Amino acid sequence: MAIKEKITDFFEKYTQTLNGEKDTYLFSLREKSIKLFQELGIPTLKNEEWKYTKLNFLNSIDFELSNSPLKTMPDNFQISDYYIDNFEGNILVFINGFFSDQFSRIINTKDDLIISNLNEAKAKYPDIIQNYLSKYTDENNNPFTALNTALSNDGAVIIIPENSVSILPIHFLFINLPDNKNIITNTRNIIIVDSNSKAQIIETNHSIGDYSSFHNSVTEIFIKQNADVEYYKFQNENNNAYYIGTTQIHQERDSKLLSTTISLGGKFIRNNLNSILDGENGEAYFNGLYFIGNEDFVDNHTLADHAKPHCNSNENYKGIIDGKATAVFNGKIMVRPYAQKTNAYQSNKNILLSEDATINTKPQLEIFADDVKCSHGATSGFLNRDAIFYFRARGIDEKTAQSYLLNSFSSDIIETIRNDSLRDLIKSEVAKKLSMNDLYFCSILESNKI
Amino acid sequence: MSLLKIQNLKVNINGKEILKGLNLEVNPGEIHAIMGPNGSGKSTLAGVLAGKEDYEVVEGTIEFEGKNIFEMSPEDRAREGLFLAFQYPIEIPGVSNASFMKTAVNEIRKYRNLEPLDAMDFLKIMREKAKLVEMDQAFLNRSVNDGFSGGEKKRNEIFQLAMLEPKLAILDETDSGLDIDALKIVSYGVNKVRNKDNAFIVITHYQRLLNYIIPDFVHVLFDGKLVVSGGKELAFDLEEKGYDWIKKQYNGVLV
Repeated sequence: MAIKEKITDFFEKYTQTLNGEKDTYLFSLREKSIKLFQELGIPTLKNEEWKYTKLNFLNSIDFELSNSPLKTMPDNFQISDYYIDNFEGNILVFINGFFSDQFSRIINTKDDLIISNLNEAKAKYPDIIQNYLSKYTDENNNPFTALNTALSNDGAVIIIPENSVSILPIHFLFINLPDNKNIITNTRNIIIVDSNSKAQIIETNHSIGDYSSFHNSVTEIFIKQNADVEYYKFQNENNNAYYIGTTQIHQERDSKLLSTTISLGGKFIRNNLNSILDGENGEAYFNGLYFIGNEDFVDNHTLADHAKPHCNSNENYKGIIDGKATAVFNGKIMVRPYAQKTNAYQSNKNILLSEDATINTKPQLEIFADDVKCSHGATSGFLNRDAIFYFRARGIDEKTAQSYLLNSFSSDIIETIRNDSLRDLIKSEVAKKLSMNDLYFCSILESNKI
Repeated sequence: MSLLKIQNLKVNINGKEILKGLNLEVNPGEIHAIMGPNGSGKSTLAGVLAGKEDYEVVEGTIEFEGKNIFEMSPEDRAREGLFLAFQYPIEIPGVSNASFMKTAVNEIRKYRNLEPLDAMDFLKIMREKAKLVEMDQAFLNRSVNDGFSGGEKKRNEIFQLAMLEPKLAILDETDSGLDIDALKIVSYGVNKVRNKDNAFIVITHYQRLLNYIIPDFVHVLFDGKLVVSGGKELAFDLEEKGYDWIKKQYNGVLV
């Protein structure tokens, strides 16, 4: 059976389990979304949004829907292996797409703060689901978002009340652990950060074992007036991991978004990051680093949607591509007619480490206002030979020289991460990839104040 | 045994003959100045010694302490004790001077079967050597040559020279673009590092630097060969008379 028919089948079976919910808003949304999915189908390379993104794994791998929580964890499973060292904050763990009370760690409790999961929230906070779910998402032209809305059964729900500036960071930890079949998980996260509040969210994905898993994720973030959100995504997965994720952000006036996406591995990764700057004086920073090899594939599609005047968007993505890996970057800047005095900047720089590595990079500017500043630049090339010679002339071999240069190339993106424990983790993972063990020397120097 | 022995060196770049049979012998404790007009092959000589790509060695030999340097990678030449102070030092944003030098020093120590220096010992040595070229402490944390002025870049080359303690250092137009104060600082650093066991090849266009770094031998490189050699007085002659008489004598061309 082709994937499209299989998904229809999944949907029928899934909705049979939702007997008590048939009259809810969510249920009608699911029915609408599965229809949209059927109409849209799986995109082919003829679809401009998926031009360089081959989705044949969906048919070549026999996936089943992950439809129940895992009953027993493998003997060698240690949840602490997936926690971030020295992380202080709330951790929400999802195994095979289902919230795990056992492994999660929720510290912050306050009457009006909600740290919950979709499965619980749909019964407990139906108004929130009705008012926010799918409010700005792209079901109408993205079949994977439609698929997610139709089939998602769990995910994180975070509601931060106004004037909350001291909420601890929140880590969403998604572990896919297929035990006897290849699985699809659909997780849906909703984050609402009310006026004058601050939030720091980290999302990491992990696939374990010999079976493949396809994680189809949608995250909706609502940033209210003068609120400030940091949203970090760290992807360092094995070659059985397939991931498509859409992050849809809505920003009110004076709000600020800092998003950093780090992809160090995975067989297939597609990140869609869309932010609507829907109030004056909003700021959005999109940073990304992809550092991949083997036959990995990483695709970052971003959209800075300037809907109101006087907003800034600043995008900086960098890539290091080795082996037979392929990366795609598509940065769209939309400036709507009313959005005068927009500042939008975009940069995408790439280093290719092998003749067989590929980058497809494309800026896409659609500007309908006349008083705006927009600029973009994209580069791709090999490492600077003169710089490598300079290292060698000082007794440092070529491989180490290359590691230093790549580390310095990627460091400004990693430094945008303001969560110390996550930044340390990423630094050490990058250092591992570069076979470097001396990267912390600089911080020793700084702490010695020489 | 001499430290460096170059015999009948012929080098092409993109098929064009640049060095046309150059001979030079350098012994420990000596300072050799190589002077010459633009385009005579001075920087090519420096690049060939350090192992830069893009040069085609057509004929001749270069021995460093009796070993054929053409069989050594650039990093091994550095580890053996050969140092090139670049005419145009490369900027490396994101890599601190301290971390760059720590890696270099320890790579060289490893090659010589020495234990790596620990961070504290290394810092001590680094502070000491930075003082030689009047580099302040903040400089050690700055990225290698990134945003440095011309003078700072050249001082950084001498700092690296002092850190790595080579047997033979080649200064490729280290004086070019330096004001007199920077020139004095650079020369002071070189004179502090020099001793009876190491040697220098000072490549320069002008005599000025040789007031501060006193050479034992001065050679004139012209049209790919060393055409005249003498003591330090030769540099004064060149300063006074220019290179025209050399051009006339060795090229037969009226200038």
